[in-house]
Amino acid sequence: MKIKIIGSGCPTCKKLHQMVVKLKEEGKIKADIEYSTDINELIELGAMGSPALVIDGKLISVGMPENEKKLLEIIKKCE
Amino acid sequence: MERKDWNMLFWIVLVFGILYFVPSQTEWFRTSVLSAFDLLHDYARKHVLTCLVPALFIAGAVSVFVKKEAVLKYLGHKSKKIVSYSIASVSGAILAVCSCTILPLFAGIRKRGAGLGPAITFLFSGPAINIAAIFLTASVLGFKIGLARTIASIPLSIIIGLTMAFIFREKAEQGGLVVQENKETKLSKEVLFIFFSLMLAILVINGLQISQLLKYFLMFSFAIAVVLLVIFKFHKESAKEWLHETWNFSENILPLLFIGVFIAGFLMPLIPQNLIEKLVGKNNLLGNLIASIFGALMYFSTLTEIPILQALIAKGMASGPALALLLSGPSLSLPSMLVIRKVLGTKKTAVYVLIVIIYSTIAGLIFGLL
Repeated sequence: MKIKIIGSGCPTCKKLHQMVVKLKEEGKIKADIEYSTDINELIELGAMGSPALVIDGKLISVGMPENEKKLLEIIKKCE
Repeated sequence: MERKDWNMLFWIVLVFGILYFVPSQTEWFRTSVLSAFDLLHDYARKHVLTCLVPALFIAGAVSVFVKKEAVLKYLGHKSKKIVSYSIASVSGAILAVCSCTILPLFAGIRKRGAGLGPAITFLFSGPAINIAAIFLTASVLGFKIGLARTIASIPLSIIIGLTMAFIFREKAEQGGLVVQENKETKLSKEVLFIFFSLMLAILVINGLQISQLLKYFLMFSFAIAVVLLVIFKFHKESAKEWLHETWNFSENILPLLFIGVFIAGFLMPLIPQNLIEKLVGKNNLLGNLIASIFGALMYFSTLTEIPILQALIAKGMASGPALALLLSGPSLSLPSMLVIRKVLGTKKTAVYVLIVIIYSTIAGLIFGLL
C-alpha cells in the first residue's frame, strides 16, 4: 500500500512522518511512504488541519494519533 | 561512518568553531550574555509558572474538548456573511492553537467554505488572539498593550478580510471539510464549564493588582481545584488526552520561545538606543509604518514576538509602533508570505501584505494617541 503524509511543514507533521518510517523499518508495516508539504494537496482532500494521513489515495485521518500503537492500528485497518 | 555520525561530526565542528572564535574576552559580549541570562531569569521567575504553564494547559484543553465542527459550521459556504466574518475573527482562539492548523484551515475556508474574506480574517486573527499570546503579552508588556492587542486584532482582521473580498471577488466551491476528529468527551457541560473557568481564573488573577501573597494563594488553590476536578470528574481517557495535547504544545512552543528570549536578551545591550528612538520612538506615521513593515517581514516563532518587543520597548520604542508591530508581526513573515503565495498567488498575497501593513500602521497611530 501507499502511505502519504501531507503536512504544512510543522513539527508535528515531521514527527508523524518519522513515526511511519520507523514502523516500516521495524517491519511492522509494508508500504511506500511519501511525505509532502504541498498545502494545495491538503485542500484537494478537504483536510482542515495537518498532518493528513493518506492511504492509497484516501484521507484516513487529520492530526496526530496519540501514540505509535494507535497509528499502527489505523494503518492495519486499511490493509 | 553513517549519515547520523556525519551529522554529529558537523555539529561538533560547528560548536567547536563557535567556541574557537567567540569573543568571550570582550566587554560587549560579556554584557550581552549577562543580559540574556537576566531576561531568561526574569521569564522563569515571573512568567513561566503563573502565565505560560496555565496557558499551555488551557490550549491543550481547548484542542481536546472544544468541538471544532461546531465552529466550522459557521464558516461553511452556507452561512451568512456577518456570522462568518465575526466567527472567523475570534475563532483563532479556539481553532488555531497550533501553526499546523492555520494554513490548512485558511485554505479550506477559502476554497470550500465561506470564501476569501472570512478566510483572510481567520488567517490574520488566528495567530494573534490565541490564549497564550494574549496573556503572555499582558504579563510581560503590561495590561494595557495586552488588551489593545486583543481588541485591535478582532476588528482589524474583519476589515482586512472585507477589503480583500472587496478587491478580489472569488467564488467558493462546494464540498465537505474534514476536521481533526474530537472524540466524544462524555463530560457534562457543567464540568467543562467549571474546568475552563478555573483555569482562566488563574490567568486573570495573575494580572490583578493585589498583594503577592494573596495572589499566589488564590492561584495555587485554583490549580489544586483543577487537579481535583480532573481526578474525580474526568474519565481517564479524557485526562490523558488533555495532558498529551498540552505536552504537544509545550514541546513545540517552549524551546523556541526560550531561544527567542535568550536572543532578545542578548541583543538588548547591542541595540543602539539612538536608532530606536529616532525610528520608532515617537508615535508618528513613519514610526508606526517602520514598525509594521519590520513586523511583517520578520519571522517570529509562536510568542517570541513578545521578548523581542520587550527589548525594543526597553530601548525607547513608543507604544503606538509597539502595537503596530504586535499586529503585523505574528500573522506575517517572509517565510509565511512564501507559503501564502503558494495558496493565493502573487498578486493577492502582495495586496494582503500591503493591507496588513497599512491597517496595522493606522491601528498603531490610534493607540499611540490614546
